[in-house]
Amino acid sequence: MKPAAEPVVTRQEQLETFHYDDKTVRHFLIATVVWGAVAMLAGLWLALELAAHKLNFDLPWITFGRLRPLHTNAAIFAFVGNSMFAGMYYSTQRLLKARMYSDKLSRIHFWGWQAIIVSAALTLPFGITSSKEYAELEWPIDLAIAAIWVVFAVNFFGTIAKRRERHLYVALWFYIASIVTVALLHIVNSLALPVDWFKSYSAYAGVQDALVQWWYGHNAVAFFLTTPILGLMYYFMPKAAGRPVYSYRLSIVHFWSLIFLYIWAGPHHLLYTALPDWAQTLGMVFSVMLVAPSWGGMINGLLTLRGAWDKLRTDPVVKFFVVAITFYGMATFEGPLLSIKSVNALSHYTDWTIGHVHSGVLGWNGFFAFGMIYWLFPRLYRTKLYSTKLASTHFWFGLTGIGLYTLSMWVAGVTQGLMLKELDADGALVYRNWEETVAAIIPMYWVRAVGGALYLTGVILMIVNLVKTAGGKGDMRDEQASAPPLLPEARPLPATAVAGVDLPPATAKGFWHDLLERRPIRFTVYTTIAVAIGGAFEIIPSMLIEKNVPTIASVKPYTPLELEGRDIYVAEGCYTCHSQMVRPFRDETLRFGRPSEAGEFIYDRPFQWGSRRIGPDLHRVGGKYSDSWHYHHMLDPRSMSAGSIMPSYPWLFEDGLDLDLLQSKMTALRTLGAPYSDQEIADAETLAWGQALKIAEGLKAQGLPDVSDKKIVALIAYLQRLGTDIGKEPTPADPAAPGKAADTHASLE
Amino acid sequence: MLASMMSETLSRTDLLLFPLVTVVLFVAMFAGAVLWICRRGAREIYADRSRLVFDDATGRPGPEAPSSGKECNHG
Repeated sequence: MKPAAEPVVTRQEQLETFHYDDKTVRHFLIATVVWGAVAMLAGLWLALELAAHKLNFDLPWITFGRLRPLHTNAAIFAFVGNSMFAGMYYSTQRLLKARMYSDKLSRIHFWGWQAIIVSAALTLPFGITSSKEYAELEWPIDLAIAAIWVVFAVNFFGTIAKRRERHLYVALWFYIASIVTVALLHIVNSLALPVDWFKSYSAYAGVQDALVQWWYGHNAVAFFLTTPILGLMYYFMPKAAGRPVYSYRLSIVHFWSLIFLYIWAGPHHLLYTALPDWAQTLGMVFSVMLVAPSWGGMINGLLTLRGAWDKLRTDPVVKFFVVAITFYGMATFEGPLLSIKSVNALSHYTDWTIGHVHSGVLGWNGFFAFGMIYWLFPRLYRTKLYSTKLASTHFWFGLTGIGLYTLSMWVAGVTQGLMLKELDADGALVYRNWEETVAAIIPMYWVRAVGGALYLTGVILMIVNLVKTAGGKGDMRDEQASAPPLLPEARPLPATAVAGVDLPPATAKGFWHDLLERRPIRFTVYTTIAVAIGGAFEIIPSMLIEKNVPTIASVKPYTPLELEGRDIYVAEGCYTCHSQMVRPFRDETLRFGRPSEAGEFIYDRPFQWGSRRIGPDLHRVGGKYSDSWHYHHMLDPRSMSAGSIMPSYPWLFEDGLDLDLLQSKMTALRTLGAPYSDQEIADAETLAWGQALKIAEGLKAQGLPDVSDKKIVALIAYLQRLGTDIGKEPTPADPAAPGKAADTHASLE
Repeated sequence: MLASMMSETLSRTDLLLFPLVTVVLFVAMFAGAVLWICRRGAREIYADRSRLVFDDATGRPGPEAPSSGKECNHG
């Protein structure tokens, strides 16, 4: 139908003038730099603590188990989070040709997010943690995160609503997917029953908690560390290269296949665990399939530089972007590789995984953030970058740092993994003592620390460069723009040149995806469906089908004192170094005991399976050593295990055992399904003190001080309970010591 | 009631069937999408979209289209 009868109104005649909000972008950029330095300094300190345990200084708040969650949260949510928001605020406004929906919401978002980061820094070092990796913050902060995320979402979708550009550019699709999915992940994974302001218990237990947690954990990587950055790539890479994205069509396939596949891959963090096999297989298969869209995105990013590769020689921004996208490609090849069960059998719980995640965060996220910062900073301060040479120096420091980091962790992971699995001709362990395998990789820990120091040095150079750049700032007013308003689609407009770019006519006619790109609500609904399918297929059956978690009659809830000990174990972050999951491998059953079973964890809120074994697995540690062994080991690990790199925990021998919350804790757990009786809850303190006195008397009989009212007694009670509920039947695979696993440590007792 | 019905139904079902069906559907959709995206004449449509990134309404002109750019290995 020809609309010739309509009065022609050119878009040029209706130009509206407005200003982009650059102040918020500047704030987020500064926060990125500041928190990035903090996160990397904490990371370097942790690397040094592992290389030289004395650097824990016997101080609780910087000990490895407490500092590590602060480092990961700072790197992910403070450094990458702020950089992502900076890039999203800058690009969203320009792609939609509109100022952000509300300046007030932008300010609330910025300051609210910084307050959340400060809250994390004030709680995690003091042992206030849920212990769910990358979601360690306790429930009041979780609520604040949800509220601030809603503020961000309203601001973002409000901007879309008042946009002056009909089509949503590909970067915006990735932002939409990130905003929707992060909200979904955060809410589902954070469901918990509060005990008080600083303590809560997960709504899920054991296997189900593990599945939900790694559905979240993996997709935090996917939808917080990857999809937003891919959106930024689709905006800033063409800007830096001065060329449109290599293939817009490829970006469509990239987007839909990536968001659909990513959400299924979480269970690859739980291969060979007590998770049902069907879920493990799903996780592995979808992880391998992820190579295709991931590499499609990488190719699209790199080939955007077609015909402009010469910029790589001179432009530090392009250098950072190219290396970032290359690291994305390497990490997304390595990830599926590590998800193959036979590879995972070796790599899981070793430093190989640590190297993998750092190649992603330092290489992909970090380098992309640095490239974006160097591109944005001079534009936002209306000046030139102080020193291109200094930026290039930063690049080489950073690249050398990542190289040393990932290579050392790869070597350490493979070395330790092979040593732990090595059996002699008789089928016995070659390296029975854990510390032998640790000693072999300590040199790699020093190499890692050097790599981290180089990376941090590069960041310091960047800070100097940016401060100098800001010193020469020009006109700091928000950038002015002008564009015609967006008219209803039913009213066709002729093509008109705006701002030197030929725009196609605004018309409702078009292809399916072409139309979808103009309808943000429909686009968001389809995106939500695409990401929800995988989670629903994995999580709902695991919750509803009882045979996924067989109950074991002999498995009982923790005693009051053991429960208190478990909370101390959680607060100290023991899970950062010790797993509680014996996998069904000969070397593990010889070393630790019989494989863990799903039914053993039904009262574990949250689960404590861990993701890295810097020390040995603890699921079968109950009854393996005496109470006095644990006493000495916690006070000075080297006295029991020569060569141990574990920190000492003297404060557990000084801090009093506080049982004030015990009844509330047991009541909360009963609400969640633990069969505590009224009498048990009423007598909780009496029962706890009774068990504490019994343990303390045993220790006193061996000439040790009275610790009946100290935290250590509760921790010993918990450790001695671990893995004992299903008895200590002989382990058929252990010919040397039937029914008893090998000594994990070189015991000096 | 609903939960127990679902539990009962799922307990009697071979769960591996669901991901299998989903994978088949996904692969079919993926193949269809690739064919559709790379159909004849689609390049021109998307060329405009890909240049949106340069039109930030500030009056700065975008770059010229690259001469060597190809999409999906054809025209």
